[in-house]
Amino acid sequence: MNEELPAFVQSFNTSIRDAEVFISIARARELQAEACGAVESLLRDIASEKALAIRAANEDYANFLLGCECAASGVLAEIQMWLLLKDEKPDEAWNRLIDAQSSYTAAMRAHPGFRHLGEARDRLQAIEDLVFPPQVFISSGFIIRVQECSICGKEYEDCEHLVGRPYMGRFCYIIARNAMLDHVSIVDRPADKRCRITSFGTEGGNRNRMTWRIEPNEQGEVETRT
Amino acid sequence: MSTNITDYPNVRNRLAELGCNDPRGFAILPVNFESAHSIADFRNLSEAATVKKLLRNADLPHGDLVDRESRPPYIQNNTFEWVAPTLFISGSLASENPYLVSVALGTIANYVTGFLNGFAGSSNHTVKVDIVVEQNKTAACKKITYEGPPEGLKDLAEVVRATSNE
Repeated sequence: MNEELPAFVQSFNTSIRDAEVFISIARARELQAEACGAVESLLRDIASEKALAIRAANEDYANFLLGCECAASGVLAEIQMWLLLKDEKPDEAWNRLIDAQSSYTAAMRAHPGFRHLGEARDRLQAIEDLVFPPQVFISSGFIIRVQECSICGKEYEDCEHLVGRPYMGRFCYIIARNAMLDHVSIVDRPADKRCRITSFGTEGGNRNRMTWRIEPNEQGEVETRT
Repeated sequence: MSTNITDYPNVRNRLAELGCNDPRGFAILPVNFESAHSIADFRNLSEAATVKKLLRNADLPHGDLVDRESRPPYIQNNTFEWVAPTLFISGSLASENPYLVSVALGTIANYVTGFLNGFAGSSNHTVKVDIVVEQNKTAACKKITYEGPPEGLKDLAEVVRATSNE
C-alpha cells in the first residue's frame, strides 16, 4: 500500500470511526440501528471497490479491501450484539459476538494493515468472559473423501493455495466433498463457538443456558420430571 | 515447551509390509500408520494436505506413501487447534542435509504462526507436533514429540540431526 492513502480508504476510516462510537451498551437504540444501516451501506461500497481491485488484478489492495470488509462486518456484529442484548435476545447476541470475533480475526489475516485489531479481539474476549455466562461447546469431526480448494476448485492437496491465506480478496478454505460425520464431542475450544448446547431438559421443560428460563420443549410440551 | 523422544516402529519395514511407496526425504505418516491393516485403512489429518504443499512449495524433497488414486480420506476435526500431521524424516536427509530440515520446520512454523494470528490468546498458543526420524545407521526410528509455541519448531532441527546420528 502507498504511504498516501487512497480516497476510498480515507473515507472507510472515517465511516468506521463514526460507527465505532456506537459500540457500547449505553448508546441510544435508534442511533445504534442507524449506525448499523450506515455500516451495511459501507459494506456494499467496499464490495464495489473490491470488484474494481480484482478487475485491475491488484492483489494487495483486494486483500486490503477484504480486510476492510471483515473489519466493518466486525463493527456491525458488535453493535448488533448490544442491540440484541437490550432486546433480551442473548442467544442471538452470542452469535453476533462470535461473528464479530471471527470477523476481526479474519481482518487480521487478510492484510497486515489490520494487525491493530488485536485490541478489539481482546475486548470481545473480555465481553465473552464477563457479559455472557459460561457455555458448553460442541465440536464435530468428519471423514472427508475429497478436499476441494475454494480458490481454484482443484483438489486441495494438488494446488498451491493455503487454507486461511487471502488470494485476490478471498480467503482460501477447504470445501469438503463426500463428508461423513465421524464423531461429535464436547470441547473447551471449538472451531466455531456458535456450536454449543443451548438448553437442557429439566423439570417443567428445557432450561435455556443463556436466560436460565424454563421453556417448553420442541413439541410445545411442558416436561415434568419426578 | 517440552520435547520428548520415544521409540517408534521401523518405518521402512512397515512401508514394505503394507506395500507403500518408499519415500525419500520428507513424508507425512497417516494417523493410523502403526495400526492400519492395509493402505485402504489409512486416514490422514486434514492438515496433512497443507503440510505436503508447504514442503512442495518450498521445493523440499518429499514423497507420498501411496499413489494419488489411493489417497486416504481425511479426518477433519473442527476444533480451534491446528493439529499437525506426523512428519517422517528419512535418515539420509536428517544427517546429510540438516539445513533442509531446518527450512522445512521453519516453513511449517511460519505458516502455523500466520494461521493462528488473530485468534484470542494466539500469542501464547501452543502446537503439538510429532516427528518420526529414521536413524541413519540402523534405520530404527524415534519419535520426537514437541509441544510449545510454533516458533520453537525451528529449533528442533538440531534435535532431529542428533537423533538421526545416534
